[in-house]
Amino acid sequence: MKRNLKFWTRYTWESAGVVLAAAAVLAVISLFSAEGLDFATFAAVMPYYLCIAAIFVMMMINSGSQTLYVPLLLSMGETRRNVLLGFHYYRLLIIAATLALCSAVWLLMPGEVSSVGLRSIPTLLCVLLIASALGSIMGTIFVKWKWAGTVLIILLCGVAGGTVGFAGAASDKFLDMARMARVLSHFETLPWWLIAAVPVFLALDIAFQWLLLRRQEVKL
Amino acid sequence: MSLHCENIVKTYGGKDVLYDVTLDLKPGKIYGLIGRNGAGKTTLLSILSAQNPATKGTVTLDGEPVWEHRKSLAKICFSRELNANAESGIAAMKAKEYLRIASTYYEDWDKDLEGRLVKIFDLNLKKKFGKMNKGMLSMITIIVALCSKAPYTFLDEPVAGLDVVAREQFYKLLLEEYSSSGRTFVVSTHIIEEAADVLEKVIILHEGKILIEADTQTFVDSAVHVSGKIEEVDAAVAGLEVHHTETVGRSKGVTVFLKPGQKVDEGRDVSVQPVSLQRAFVALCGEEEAK
Repeated sequence: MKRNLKFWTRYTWESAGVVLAAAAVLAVISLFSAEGLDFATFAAVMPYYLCIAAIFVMMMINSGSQTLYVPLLLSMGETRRNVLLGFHYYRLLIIAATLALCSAVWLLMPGEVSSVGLRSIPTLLCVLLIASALGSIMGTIFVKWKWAGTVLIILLCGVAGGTVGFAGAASDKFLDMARMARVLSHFETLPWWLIAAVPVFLALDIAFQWLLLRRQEVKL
Repeated sequence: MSLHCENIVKTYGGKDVLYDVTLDLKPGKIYGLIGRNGAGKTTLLSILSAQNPATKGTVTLDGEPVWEHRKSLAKICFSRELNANAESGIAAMKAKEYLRIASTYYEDWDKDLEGRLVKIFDLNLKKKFGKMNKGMLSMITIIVALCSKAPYTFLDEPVAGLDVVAREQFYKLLLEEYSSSGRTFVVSTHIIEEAADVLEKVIILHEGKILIEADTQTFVDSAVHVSGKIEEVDAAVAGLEVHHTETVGRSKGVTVFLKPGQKVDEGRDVSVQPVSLQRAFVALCGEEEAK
């Protein structure tokens, strides 16, 4: 298990770099679209970009991990159970690191948007967990039925493109403290259905993945 | 200590790829696993190392199951043939990263040996697998197999794509490692003649079944090639296990497998010659084509 943790921790570290890079891209796009720069608002909004980037990276990397790293680790003598546990550990670590960074930014940049952000953490946690489970289910589909996985990835890319566009447009219109706080305040309330969806998606993901993994054949 | 598999059956789409395979791999031996394309060699090695599940049957190491058993799996290394064109995306991986992951997972990984082998093979570890040729990919699988220090190490076509010098280096390194560590190696190969001197035991797999599991020398010694006039050859080998008959005009040549105590009738006007491992294998597994 120690070796497994070592591998997935390092892998998380590498993925974190991609998350930061993706968040930076979103931030740069929104900066270019903004008419006037309000640094405090921009910094307080950055964590949301970080969450969006984490969602996309988890979804995209999940597919890649399941296609390459899962068989690779099995070929190196790891048990299927440990591979499954390691994979979930990696996803939880990404979510924990993302939320920790978000919290740190909001604590360092006090203001209305930051306060809203800190109160939104439970909602963001649920959203990240669901997105991560969805990404993993998508990865499993990609391994088993390549064509269906490819369609899902194309759809995801479409959503990603749309989000980038929205980030640009939104920054143009909303990059003032009051409007931004109003829009983001929707995240403060944590609806019951979102809480209920988390265990459902996680259970679906684990069941789906285990069904594939327990009989998976190694191909490199 | 031994790696044992019992009544292994592997079925793909209703077709048996391995059928009722029972095998016992003893410690401290070099086994040659030979068979034609599609005989089931890679599938068998994958099942022995729990990389693929068997449809039926069990694999145990020292009485413990290998499947989902980390302690047993830690003693087995199956260094798979790498395919840079595979859909797994391994082509984008650098050799350095692959070896780093291997060194993380194999607890007795020999870092010094890794450095030495990289030097011997003159490999650039910064290269991605997609940019490497077949020979270089084989070298990587050889490095993983030898450096893993796993008591049971399987190599699937380790010399594929290697030039003759690199192949010689591989056999030398294999023997060196074998004599210093006493590990068990199972080498699956099509280049039988070159490997024959290295293989202590031979396992011949044909159409998913084990045809032969024997000491290489005993197996080779049991086979002879008998040639001469058709009637003389027929009389000389009457009652013996005859394979691979070749007839040219009035002459005939056959490969005969002798059981203990059997011999070719020396009173006949025939030539009796020893055969190589490769010829013995062709006689056993290429029989239908020869006819």
